[in-house]
Amino acid sequence: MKVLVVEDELRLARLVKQGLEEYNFQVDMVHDGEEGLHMAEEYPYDAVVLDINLPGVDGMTILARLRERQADVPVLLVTARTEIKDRIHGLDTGADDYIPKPFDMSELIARIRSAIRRSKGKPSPRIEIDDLEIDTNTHAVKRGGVEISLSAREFSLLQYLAMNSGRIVSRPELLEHIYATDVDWESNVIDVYITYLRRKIDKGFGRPLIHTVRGSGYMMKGVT
Amino acid sequence: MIRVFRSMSSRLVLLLVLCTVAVLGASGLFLNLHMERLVIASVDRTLHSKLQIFTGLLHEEHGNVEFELDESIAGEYVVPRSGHYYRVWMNGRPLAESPSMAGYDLELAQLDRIGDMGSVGEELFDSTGPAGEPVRVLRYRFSALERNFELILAESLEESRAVLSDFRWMLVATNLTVVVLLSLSVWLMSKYSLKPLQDFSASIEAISHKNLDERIDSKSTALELQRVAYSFNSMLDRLAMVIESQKRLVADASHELKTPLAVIKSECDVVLQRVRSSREYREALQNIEETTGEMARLVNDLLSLAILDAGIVFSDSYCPVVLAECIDHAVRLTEPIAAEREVKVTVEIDRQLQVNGAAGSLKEAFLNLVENGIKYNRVGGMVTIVAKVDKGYVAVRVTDTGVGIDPELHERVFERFYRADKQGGSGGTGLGLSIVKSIIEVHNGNISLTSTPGRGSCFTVLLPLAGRRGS
Repeated sequence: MKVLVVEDELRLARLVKQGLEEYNFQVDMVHDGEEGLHMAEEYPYDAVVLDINLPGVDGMTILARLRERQADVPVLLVTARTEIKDRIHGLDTGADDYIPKPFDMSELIARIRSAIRRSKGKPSPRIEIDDLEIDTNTHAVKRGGVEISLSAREFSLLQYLAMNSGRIVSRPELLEHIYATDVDWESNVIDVYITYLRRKIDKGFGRPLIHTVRGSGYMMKGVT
Repeated sequence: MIRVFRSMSSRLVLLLVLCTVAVLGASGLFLNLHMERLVIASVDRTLHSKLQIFTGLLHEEHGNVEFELDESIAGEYVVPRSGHYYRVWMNGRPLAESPSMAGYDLELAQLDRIGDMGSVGEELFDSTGPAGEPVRVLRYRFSALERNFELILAESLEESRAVLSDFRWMLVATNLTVVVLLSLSVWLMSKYSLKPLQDFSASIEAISHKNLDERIDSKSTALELQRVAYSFNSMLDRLAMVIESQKRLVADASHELKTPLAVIKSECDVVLQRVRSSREYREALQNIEETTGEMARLVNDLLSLAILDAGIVFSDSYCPVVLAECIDHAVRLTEPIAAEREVKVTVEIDRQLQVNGAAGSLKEAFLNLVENGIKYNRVGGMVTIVAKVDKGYVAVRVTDTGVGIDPELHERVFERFYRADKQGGSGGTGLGLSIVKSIIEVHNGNISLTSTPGRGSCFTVLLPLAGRRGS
C-alpha cells in the first residue's frame, strides 16, 4: 500500500514516514501544497495524509481539487485545527477522516488501514479467498489452516492482489503500489516476486489462486 | 428600600410629592391664618355695629340713667347662654345685664379688675363665655351724661370656629387629593417616559458574547438615548475587535503549540513501535529535547505577549532605565550565536541616555531585535546598533546585513506568528517582532522598518527620552 504524506513540518513528516514504513507502507513525502497536489494528481496512491496549513496551496484546496477530478483516493486530514466547524468543513469537502494533532501514531496507521479497506470495498481486516486467510492487521497469512511466513515485500504484493481480488492488476500498477515512487524498477521484478509468492501460497495446495492473465498482468481469484 | 430610591421614577415621584406637600402646606397655613383673621374681623365688625346701637340706647330720664333694649335686638340676648352677651356698668356699679348671662360673670367679672377703670376707650380681646365657649369681647369705656360707663359686649366665636374648622378640613382634603392624584400621575408619566430606557436596557441585555455582532438600533431609540446608543455600539465594535483578535491569538497559539506537541508525540510513538538500538533512542531523545526547547520558547513568548496584552506593564511602574545597559545585555546574551554565525555586532551609544520604562521588558525587546539581526544575517555579516537623540526622543537603529525584507511584508513581520521562512527552520516562534512592537508601544514609542532586499534591514525604535544619568 502506498501513502502520500503532505506535511510542511519536516520533523513530523519524517516521523510519519518512518512510522508508516515500519508498518509496511510505501510512503512518499512532500512539504508544500503545490507539490502535494501535483503528486496526488499524478500518482495512484492508496491513501493521502494531508495537513491543512501548508505553504503554497493549502490542504483544503488540494482536497477540493482531487474531489473535483473525481479522484476516489482516501484522504485523511491531519491538522492542528480542531474546531468542530473545521472538522465538518474538512469532512464535507470530501475527506475520509479528520485527525487532530497531536495524534497517536498507531491510531493514525489504523485509520489509514481502515480508510484503505473501505475504499477497496473490503471493510473487514480479514480477507478470505478460497481457503486462504489474510489478516491485514497482523500480517498473518494462512492457507488451509497452515501458517505461511512471507517477507514484507511478498506480503505487500499479496495484500494488494487480495484487496483487488477478481480484478486484473497490471505489473506497472503493482509496481506503483508496492514500491516508493523514486525507485525505478524494471517491471519484471514483479514477476520475480510473483514466483516467490506462488511458491509459498499456491505450491502444494492443488487449486492455484494467483493467475497470470497473458499480456495484462495478474489476478487473484478463488474457485468459488 | 434603598433599591426603591435608586429607581428614577420613584425618586421623581418622591421629589414631586415632597415639593407639592411643602407648597400646599405653606399655602394652606397662609389661607388658614388669613381666614381666621377674616372671621375675627367680621365678628369685630358685628360687635362694633352693636356698640353703636347700645350707646344710643343709654338715656336719662328724670335724673336717672336708663338702659332699654330695643325689641328688635332683645331676642338674641334673652335665651340663657345664647352666645350673645352684654353688661353695662355705670360709675363702677352694674346698670344692666343681658338675661343670657344667666348670672355668670366669672370670666367677664375678672375683666373688671384688669385695666384701669378710669381710662377711656375700647378694647377687643378673647375670653371664655358662660357656657365655657370662646367669646370675643368688646369693652368700651366712655363718659356720658356726666357719668362713667363701661359697656361690655361679647359674641360667641363657636360658629366662626366651626366655619374655620370646616374650612380647614376642606383644605386638608383637597390638598391630600391633589397630592395623591399628582403622585399617581407622575408615577404613570415617569413609567411612560422611562419606557424607552427600559427598552434600551433590554436590548443591551440581549447582547452577549454569543451575538456580539448585533447592534442597538439607534434610529428607533429616544432622541436623548441616541448618543448613548452610538457610544454603546462603538464600544461593542471595539470589544468585538478585541475579542476577535484574542480568539485569533488563542487559535494561532493552540495551533503553534500543537505542532511541536505532535512532533514529540510522534517521535515517542515511532521510537516505541519496536525495539531500537541505543543510538536510535539517543537520537529520538535529542529530537524531543530540541522540540521541547522550542515549545518552551513559544510558551515564554506567549506569556510575554499575554502580560503585555493584559496591561501588566504600565507607565505607573516605570522608572529611569539606562538604555546602554539594555543593549549591552542583548549583545552579551547573543554572543554565542553571533560567534557561531561569525556576525560582528557593534554598538554606538551615549552611555548616559535614559528612558522611562520597565527594564525587563526593554531588555527583552532589544534582545529580540539583536537576535533577529544576527539570525537573519549572512555568515560574516554585521549588526550595527546606533542610538541618536532627536527632539526629546532617542532613536535606536538596529541594522543588519542580511537578505532584507520585501517592502510588501514590512507590516506583516510585526504580526503574531508571522514567519518569513515558513518551514520554521530558524527555530523562532514567529512572535519575537510582535513582542518587540508591543513592548515599544507600551513605552509610548514606536518601531519602524526600512529594508533593501539583498542588502539588509534596519529596525528603528523611537522612545521618549527621560534625560541623562546623574542629571
